[in-house]
Amino acid sequence: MATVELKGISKVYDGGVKAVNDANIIIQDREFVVLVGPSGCGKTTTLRMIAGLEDITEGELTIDGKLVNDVPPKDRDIAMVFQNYALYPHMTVYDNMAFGLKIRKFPKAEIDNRVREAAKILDIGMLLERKPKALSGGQRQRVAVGRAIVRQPKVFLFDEPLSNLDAKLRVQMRAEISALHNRLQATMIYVTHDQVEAMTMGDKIVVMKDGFIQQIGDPLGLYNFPINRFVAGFIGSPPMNFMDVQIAEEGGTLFAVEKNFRVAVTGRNIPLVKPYIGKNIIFGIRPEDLTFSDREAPGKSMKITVEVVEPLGAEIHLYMNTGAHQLVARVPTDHVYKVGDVASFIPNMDKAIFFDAETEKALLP
Amino acid sequence: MNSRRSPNLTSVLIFTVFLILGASFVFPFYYMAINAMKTTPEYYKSTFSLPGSLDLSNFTTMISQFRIHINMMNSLIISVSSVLITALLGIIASYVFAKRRFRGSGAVYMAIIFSMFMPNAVTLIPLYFLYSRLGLINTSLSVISCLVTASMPSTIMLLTAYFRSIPNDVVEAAVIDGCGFMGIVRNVIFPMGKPAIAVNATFVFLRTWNEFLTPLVLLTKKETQTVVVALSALVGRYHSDPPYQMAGLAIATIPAVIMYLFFQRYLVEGVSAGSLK
Repeated sequence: MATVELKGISKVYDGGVKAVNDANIIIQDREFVVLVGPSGCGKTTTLRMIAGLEDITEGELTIDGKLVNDVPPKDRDIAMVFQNYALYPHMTVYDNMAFGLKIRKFPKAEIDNRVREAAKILDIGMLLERKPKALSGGQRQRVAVGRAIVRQPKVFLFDEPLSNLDAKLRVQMRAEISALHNRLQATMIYVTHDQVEAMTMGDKIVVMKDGFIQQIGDPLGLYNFPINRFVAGFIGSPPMNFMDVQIAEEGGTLFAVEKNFRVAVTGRNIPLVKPYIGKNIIFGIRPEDLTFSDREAPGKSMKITVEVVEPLGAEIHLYMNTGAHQLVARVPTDHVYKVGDVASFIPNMDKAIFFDAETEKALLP
Repeated sequence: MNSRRSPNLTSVLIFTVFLILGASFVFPFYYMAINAMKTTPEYYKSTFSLPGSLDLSNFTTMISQFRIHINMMNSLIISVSSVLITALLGIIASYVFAKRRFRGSGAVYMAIIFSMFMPNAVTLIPLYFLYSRLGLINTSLSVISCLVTASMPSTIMLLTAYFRSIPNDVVEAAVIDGCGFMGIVRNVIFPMGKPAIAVNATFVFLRTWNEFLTPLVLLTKKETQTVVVALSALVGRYHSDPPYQMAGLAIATIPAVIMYLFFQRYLVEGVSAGSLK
């Protein structure tokens, strides 16, 4: 297993398109790191540079301390699982898994051992003689993972491996890949656009946007302390609510004032927003931090009109409107909500996050 | 529910058109086959009737007197060599054009495709002088090199289009698995491109087998000539004996028919295949 380090890595394509800008990431031995971001953010390009499938325009890439910028993929001791599985259609499952070892001239007995062991781990032993076209999507994905496992590489790379699976299978495979990581104790780098995958699987998450790394951190760290509005909105589902407010001071209390409500700023946020008195600022509140209140609480609650009710069984998602902003709340099922209801909601201001209106950077302690 | 529908006028018309089309393809072969087994008087009596007996003497005469088997062997050597060399070079070149684009690859590709529209005859005389100087006149090598060159543009066009449909991921998986350039060609491109390669091999074989002008110019001795060139001599030598000519032609078509039967499965697959799953 190995440590992977990206130092100032950039990728510029022909025509001057800069796909990745000055990426600096340290991936520790045995760590499960997820690169996450919307389409075109540069996450796959970053992974492909680590794999050696894309040239690095600028910067240094090291695996286990060894500079590998110019080392061909086959000599980097990595294995990759592709989004579309990339199985060889003319080979059986066994041959697909054995191929990398055959090319590397491993003894037949060793190849057989490794393939059968991997097949056992992934529960695909009965599929070994089948061709990929005779497999379901989930089975193909297991074979693709198996092909990576048998190589026993220093680093595993996953390029959106679950995006072609249906929702149920995706949840199952997510758990299996996490279990596999625990079992193999391997360094894994995983690319996805799905923040739920990132949150549930990663030891460390790298959030990217427009070729720039926005923030690197553990899942809860990113969730609770997003560095900017993009990260705050990207991590979490439903996403964080954002409202343009003005900070006002009345009687020694700071208020976040919107056209239709005013709520008092509390806790850690007081010193952070003080410099913004009289200025516009972005008020962020997560859906679960909005609590229904059966009575209005001046300076604490917001009057909001319910527009859509989404009962999910264990909880309800309410899509609402303050008159100036769309909000979503995640509430328990102990109250009946109806479309058109005008209800009072109290935001947990201790958990609110404020962002500078111009830079969109979070005001964190 | 009645699963059989009565044929309507459109389907009858379509069937009739295809029947006529099919007959127009098959009839010359039928005409050649029945007349190749007739004696000369039988032929002149009725060219459309079936032969009185299964007489293969015309075929044995073509072999014993005309020694057509030598020309068949020449054709076979030239055609098979051309197919193999074209396939080898074509697969490599097409893989590069399809998957490993380089600066200017589009222009090079277009130049190669453009050369397809240049008539063979234009280069034949200069080539004759060139091969003459090299001492390659009356050698298979001269014809093979000409035919390979002539076959490359269409080969590259067909294979490049097909190889583009091979997912990049699979090629990249092979790179990660440890394949070099030729490893990818051997383990991914060739097996996944088989239908197109087989279609192309059939086309190249038929083209080189039937090629007349190039071997006519470059092969002047009877014993070095291809069967098609040699058969042209039949017209003068056996002009009063059409059954001999028919027998010679029938022998000459055998390899092409075998080739078709051998690659028939791939031909259908290759022509209809557009995507790889």
